[in-house]
Formats: sequence, C-alpha cells, structure tokens
Amino acid sequence: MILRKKPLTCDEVRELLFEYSENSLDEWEAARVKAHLDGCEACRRELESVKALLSTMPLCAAEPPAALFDSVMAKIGDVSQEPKTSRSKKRFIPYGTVAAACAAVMIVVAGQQVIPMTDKVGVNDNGIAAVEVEKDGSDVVTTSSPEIKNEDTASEDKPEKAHITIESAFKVSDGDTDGIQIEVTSSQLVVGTPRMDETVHYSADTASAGEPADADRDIKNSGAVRTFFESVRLTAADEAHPVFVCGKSDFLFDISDYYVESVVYRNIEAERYELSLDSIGIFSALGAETPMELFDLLDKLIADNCSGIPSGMSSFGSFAIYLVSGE
Amino acid sequence: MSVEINTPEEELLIKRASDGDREAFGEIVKLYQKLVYNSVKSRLGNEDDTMDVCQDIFVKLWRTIGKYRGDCRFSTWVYRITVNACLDFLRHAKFTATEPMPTYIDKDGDEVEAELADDTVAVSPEGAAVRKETVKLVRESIARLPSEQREVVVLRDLEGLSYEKIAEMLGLEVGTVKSRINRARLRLREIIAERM
Repeated sequence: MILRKKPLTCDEVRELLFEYSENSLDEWEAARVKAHLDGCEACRRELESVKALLSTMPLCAAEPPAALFDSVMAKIGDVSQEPKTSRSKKRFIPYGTVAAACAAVMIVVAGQQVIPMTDKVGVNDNGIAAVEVEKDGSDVVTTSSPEIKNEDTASEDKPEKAHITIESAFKVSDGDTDGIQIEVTSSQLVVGTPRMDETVHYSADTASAGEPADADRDIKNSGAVRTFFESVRLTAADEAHPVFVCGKSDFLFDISDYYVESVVYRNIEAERYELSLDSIGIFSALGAETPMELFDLLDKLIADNCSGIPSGMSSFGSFAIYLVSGE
Repeated sequence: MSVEINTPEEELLIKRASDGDREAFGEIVKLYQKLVYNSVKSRLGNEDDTMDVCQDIFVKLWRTIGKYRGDCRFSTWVYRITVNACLDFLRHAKFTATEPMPTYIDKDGDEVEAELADDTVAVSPEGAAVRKETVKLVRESIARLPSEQREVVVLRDLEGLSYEKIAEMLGLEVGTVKSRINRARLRLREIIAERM
C-alpha cells in the first residue's frame, strides 16, 4: 500500500532544506522534499543557497592564535596537579537515560515524613542526583552514596533513629568529613508517604527562549512537585527550623559556583549554609509556615540561580529535594 | 547501554597527562584548543578575554585532569570546563545577556576579522575576496544569533561535531539538538538575508 500525503508547500520544504542537505531526513520525508524540488525551481535555488551556507560555515571557525599553545605550556610548568581520582568502572550513561532515571527525589520532612521518591536510579560515580538509601540492621536509615536503591524507608517497621548522611552530593567544605549527617528520630517518620516518579526539568533560559514545553518544564508547572509539596505537613517544631536541600542532578555542567547564597520570598529568607559541587545547596528556610511556602521558595531559589547564568547552561535534568530538620 | 567514550589514543594521552606528562598534555591542548577557543570566543567576543579564559581553561585542565573519571567523553569534560570558565568570567564581568560581537585583535592591537580557518582549496584572488566577504557576513550573522542557537551552530557547523556528541555535551536529547540546530540555521539565513 502506498501512503499518500498532501504535497509539501514551498514554506514547508524550506524548513527542511538543511536537514535534506545533510541527508538527515528519513527516507520518506526526503522523497517528499525531492518530489517538490523536482517541480520547483525557486526551492532548488534555495537548496543551493543552503548548501553554500553549510559549506561556508566551517570557514568561519577561527584558528586559535599560536600564542595560546605556547602560553598554556609555559603556564603549566609552574602548576602542580591535583591528586588523582580513581577512574569510574561504570560506562557512560547517556544523559537522557540519567535524566529519566533521576526522577529521584527523596524528601525528608523533619517531624513528619521520610519519602523515597524513586524506584530506581542509575547514575555515574559523579552522579549527584540522589543518594543511596539503606536501612541497616539497627534500623538506621543511611544515605551514603550518590545512588538510590529501591528501599522503602517509610516502611511499617519504622527505625528508632534515622541518620541521613549525604556524601559526595553534599560535601562539607569546612570540615574533615565528606558528608553531612542529619538525624531524624523515628517519631519524625511517617508511613505511607507519597512518591513522585516524575523527572522535573527546570531551565529558565530555555524556557525564555521558547523551547517546547515538553523539553523543559517550569517547576511551578509540575503537578507532581506541587502535589508533593501539598502532601507535606509541617509541625510547629518544623516551622521553627525547616531546612530544605536541593541537589541538582544535571551532572554535565558544574554551575554550582554561580548559585545564589540566599533567597527571599515574601517573609521567608533562606540562607545557604552549605554548597557543594553537585548541589544547589542546603538552605535554612526560617519562617516558612506552610509547605507551599517552601515550594514557592524553592521555585524562587531555582529561578534566581538560573537568572544569573548565561543561556544554555542552566538547565536541570532533574533534581533532588531534601527537606530536613534544621536542628 | 555501553558507549565507547574515548579513543584508545585519547585514553593514553589522558593517562600520561594525568601522570604529569606535559608533552602528552600538549597533545591534548592541540586536540582541543580549536574547540575551546571558538567556544569561548563565541561566548565572550573579545579576543583578550578569550585568550585569558582559554589559558585558564587549559591550566585548570592540567591541574585537574587526574579527576577525570571517565563517566563521560573526555571532550564533554573539556567542554564542561570551558563552559564553566566562560560562565565564571561572564558572572564576574557582570555581562548582560547581550554579548558583544566577536572581534579579533591583530598583532598591532587593532580589531580585525579573525584569520580564516585553514582552507587548502585554491581560489583566485577575486574568489578569495568574495569568500572572505562571505565568511565575514556569515560570521557576523552567527554572532547575532541568540546565544543558545549560536552555541549549537558553533559546535555543529563550525566545529563539525556530531549531533550525538553535541547532545552529550549540552545534556540534551539528540532530537532536541537537531531541532535547535535547524531553528538556528533558519534564523541565521534570515539574519543573513536582512544584512544583504
């Protein structure tokens, strides 16, 4: 059976000429373009113009000045190297895979909930998106590596005491340890907490550049995130010292140096008291009275972070959120 | 999914360089200086700044090459350092989103057009003049693209990288990269048409 479709218009063909020139259209679509070109001289001229442009562009690349190489080699003569890190044994995981897997969001709300937010996460050793959640024999919940296992820490047999140690993802800069440790007592853990299995993207600049909505979604527009925050309950104690921690999982770009140190939303001020390579930071959000205020604060924080960063580099594949006690 | 991320030659150079072999590192600089230079140039514009930032990038690369863990292609790692260095510079320089047109400085300190990429095709003097004008027009038009579009054009059409590699470098899906590049090229054609 031959599938027939309405012939392409000139405008439609011209949208496809670059890809046609590169042979990157599928066979069927290329045939449609060719059929149009066979009968349209104007578009054939356009095609020649496109080809000319494509052949010119490589010439626009500048050769680096010879002085660059010389100066670099001279400079490194005085520079010592940092100690080696052992190479990863894992294979590279394409970004898309990681982004999809890193729907990992684990949220710990002091006084109320421990919420592992993912079923599975595969990240590299530098992966940042998430932490491994394990429950040891003494009913201690420990997060100890940047990977999450499918452990339901909010199970019926609640631990007496939970330690949440976040290594790698949140490195303490002024201490000797490689992680922070936050303790949450068993009374603070709640059974039957909600899960969020959705990857949330956030990118201020791509959004402003008119990217498709399915490529980058504003956190505000994520029903899953909103639902999650709506499900969080804070106690009076939490309101005094809630802390939220955001760990970004876009491991391709280290833009943590450019993150803001504090964020203010309405009457809530969150001040960063820790920042690591792979996280947005750990923020103390004093004054938040409702989870949705934290939600707004988080959104503002990410927007502020993105706003100072030039286009193209501020997209998040996904992120992890931790809400923990500030005690 | 298993992906061969670096060539054996690259792996060897990386290992030697991370062991402190400056000669091997020099080979790495040669391999990546064009990508780094053009990427920085497209972001910063100014030649002096570009040179300073490029030097900083390679010095950082030398200092931290032992930290490369092989989780992504080495080129992606280099590009990540490049982008971060540019962001750092722009942040501290308090640049706005509107970057200056790329300009180039000759040895006398005058701003001139950059040297063309090496081109071995013999052309007549007239042809060379036309080509130079064409390249100038295209280069200036590329500089007028939104930075996000300019970035993919530089990587794809100036540096000749594959869609897959660009996708990895930018942390995007291949399909997103393809559509972004197509939009960028179409916009580039519009800009060129407006300037002709």
